[in-house]
Amino acid sequence: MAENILEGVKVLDMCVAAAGPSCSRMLVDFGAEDIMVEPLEGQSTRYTAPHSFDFKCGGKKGIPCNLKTPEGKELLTKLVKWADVMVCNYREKAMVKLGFSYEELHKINPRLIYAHLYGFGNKGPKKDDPGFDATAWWGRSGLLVDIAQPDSIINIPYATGDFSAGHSLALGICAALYRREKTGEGMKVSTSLMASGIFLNYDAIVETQYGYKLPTSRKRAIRAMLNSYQCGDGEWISINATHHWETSWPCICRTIHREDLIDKYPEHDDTKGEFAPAVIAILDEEFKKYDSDYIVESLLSCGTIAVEKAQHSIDVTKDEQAIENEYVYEWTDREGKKIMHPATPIRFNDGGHQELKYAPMLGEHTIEVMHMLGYTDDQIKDYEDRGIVKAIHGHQEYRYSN
Amino acid sequence: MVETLKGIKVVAFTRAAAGCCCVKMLTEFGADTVFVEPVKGIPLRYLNFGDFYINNQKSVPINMRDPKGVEFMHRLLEKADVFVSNYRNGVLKTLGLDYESLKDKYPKLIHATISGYGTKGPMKDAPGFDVTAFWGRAGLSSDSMDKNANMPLIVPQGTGDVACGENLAMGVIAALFDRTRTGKGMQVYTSLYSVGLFLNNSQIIDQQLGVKYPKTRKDPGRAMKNTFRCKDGWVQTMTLNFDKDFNSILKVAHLDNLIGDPRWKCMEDTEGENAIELTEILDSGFAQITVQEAVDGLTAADVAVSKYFTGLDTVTDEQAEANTYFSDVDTLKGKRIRIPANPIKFNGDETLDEYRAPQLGEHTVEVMKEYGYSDAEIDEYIKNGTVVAQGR
Repeated sequence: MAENILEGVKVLDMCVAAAGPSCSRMLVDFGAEDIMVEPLEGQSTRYTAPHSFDFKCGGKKGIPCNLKTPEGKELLTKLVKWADVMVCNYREKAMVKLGFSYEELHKINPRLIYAHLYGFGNKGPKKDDPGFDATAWWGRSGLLVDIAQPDSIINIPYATGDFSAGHSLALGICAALYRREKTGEGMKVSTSLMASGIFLNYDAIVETQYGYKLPTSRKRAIRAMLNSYQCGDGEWISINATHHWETSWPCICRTIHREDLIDKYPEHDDTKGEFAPAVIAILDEEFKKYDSDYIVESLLSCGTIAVEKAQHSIDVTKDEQAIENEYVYEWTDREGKKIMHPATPIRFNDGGHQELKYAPMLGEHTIEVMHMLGYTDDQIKDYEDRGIVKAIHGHQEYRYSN
Repeated sequence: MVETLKGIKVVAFTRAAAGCCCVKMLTEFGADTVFVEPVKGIPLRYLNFGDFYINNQKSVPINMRDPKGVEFMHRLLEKADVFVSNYRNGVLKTLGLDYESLKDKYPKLIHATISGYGTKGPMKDAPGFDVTAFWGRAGLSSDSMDKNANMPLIVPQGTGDVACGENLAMGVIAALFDRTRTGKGMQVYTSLYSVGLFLNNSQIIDQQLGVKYPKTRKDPGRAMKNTFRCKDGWVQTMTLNFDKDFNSILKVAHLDNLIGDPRWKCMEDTEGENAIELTEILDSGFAQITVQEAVDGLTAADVAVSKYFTGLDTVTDEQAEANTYFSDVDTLKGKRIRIPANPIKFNGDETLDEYRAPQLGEHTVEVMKEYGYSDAEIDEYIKNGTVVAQGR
């Protein structure tokens, strides 16, 4: 289990939306203690996507606090002194305006690792613009357009880019923590949605500089046997059968009952480049005659072909490969509903998954955190009365529909 | 110069992109990396983007079928902090390089591996590429399709490999941190499939709560997170804030007459089934303006928007330039191109002093000397094909 790798590491979490929280969630999975300072009304994703909020903020402690008041600022300063790591994904100008720039916080706590996740970086014409993964990670990096077939579009999945950038930042934080053990000094770590998207899209970015044209069409794929095909049940499969032609190709021909094609294309080169479109046209017709399950099973049995159905997410939750590796596991939400949750993909030693805890209710840990920071009950009550913090007293029922 | 992992010694025994990317991250953070290649080099190094994966590592091709080659590997491991591999476990076992074989011998070693589909289950030995294991099986390909267009994605090759490599690197460094307290190494591993699942978490959770995928852009779920066709191309928009952004979007699309319309009072009025009608209306508005007008207008109103950049556009993007998101590289193929730089910055925007992929065997002699081999031994190893070396 991963739970003690970062045990004892204290994280001050000033994150909103998805990318920032997905970074600190990794640290929590590795055993760090996380205190999340939220706006008084709570982060918007609490309400717009409550299950997703659990996924991103599970196991964190929460304290809603008005950071625009002097008392709120003082409370945050105490947390800065307490923390090893501060993670945020507010825009840089907002952090500067609040007085929480790297320079300011470094003065308060020189050992602090200040981790900032930007939309587009902290320089350049876009530095102050709002960035979401749909725009900064997908749109600006070239992924959005180069991934779609000509005259087609894709519907961007939610939050994949956020998590990817969040992972990058968490990786940087781990490196900074390691470095601090040697030097005793904190440092600033940053990345952006845009940088993360560009980094992941390196292949297309490099290839197009060598003259390769994108976006491309599957009907004119460079290799007929490295392509996607639609089967009779409407499902798409992706095939890589470019290796071991002498066994792979006959296997394909037999699978679609077109043995006559075996000798027509004796070499892989006969199905590549200028020859590819004709082969793709034939296979398009033939694959449509069979269900995807039959095709996948038959091609896999050949042993030299990588083939995969474009599995729907809902199928993932029943996939024995995912279940056996604990890549998904049954998780029960606060209302008792059972959901299969993806588990942290990084495993240490024995390889079990981390059980996700619930995201904090708004104000759930205010009293605990303020006590820890040395505030008295009277002070807490006073702060509540004056609208500086919000706190839950005693037990409160949770409703996702709130 | 990045020095976060200065002093850390990495032995890379990698071949596929995901494993190489993990090593790349460690190397770019300042680790000293010996890349034990096959004697012919890994196939990746001969591709256009090969430089991306092996830059700044020391290339030491060793014939692992030769017992002397295996002995050389162990000399490297004796001093190593981290061992990274993406060979299937059977291969590592045969060579005696699996975790079980190494953990007692090198108790401080972090042993890091990547697989396609995990270490258990029916697919554990199946070949995995990111296009199949990460995109295909994890649901990303299927859920990103436009249902009406009925066209699959041209899956961007390598994206899953990088995401997976970064994850493994994160685990490795967390383990290095833990080792500063425990003095002990450990095993760290991940897979293309599991990283794909984790990144696809929103869709996986949503579908279990009844949301249907794939979607079409005409029935997008959220009207303001969508693609719109302007006069001369597409734009992508996104918002989480109805009060701040809804009227701005209407104004930019010249739909001012709808401001204050009682049909849309809050975010929920723009979501689910409500999104269908609104999308049709927004489509009619965006069709009247250019991409530039949409981008300028929405940006001025602080609404997130992007035109469709191609991969090639990014190379000349001033935003990327301002933040040093690229390195200029003279590639192994003799061309000068721009390669995406490490997205993680420490302190300032420091970059690598030099970004260069090694020639096959460029560092063999240097590394062999460092590990105590005599000149005579080096010559003998080269002659017998135990290693491949340049400049000798």
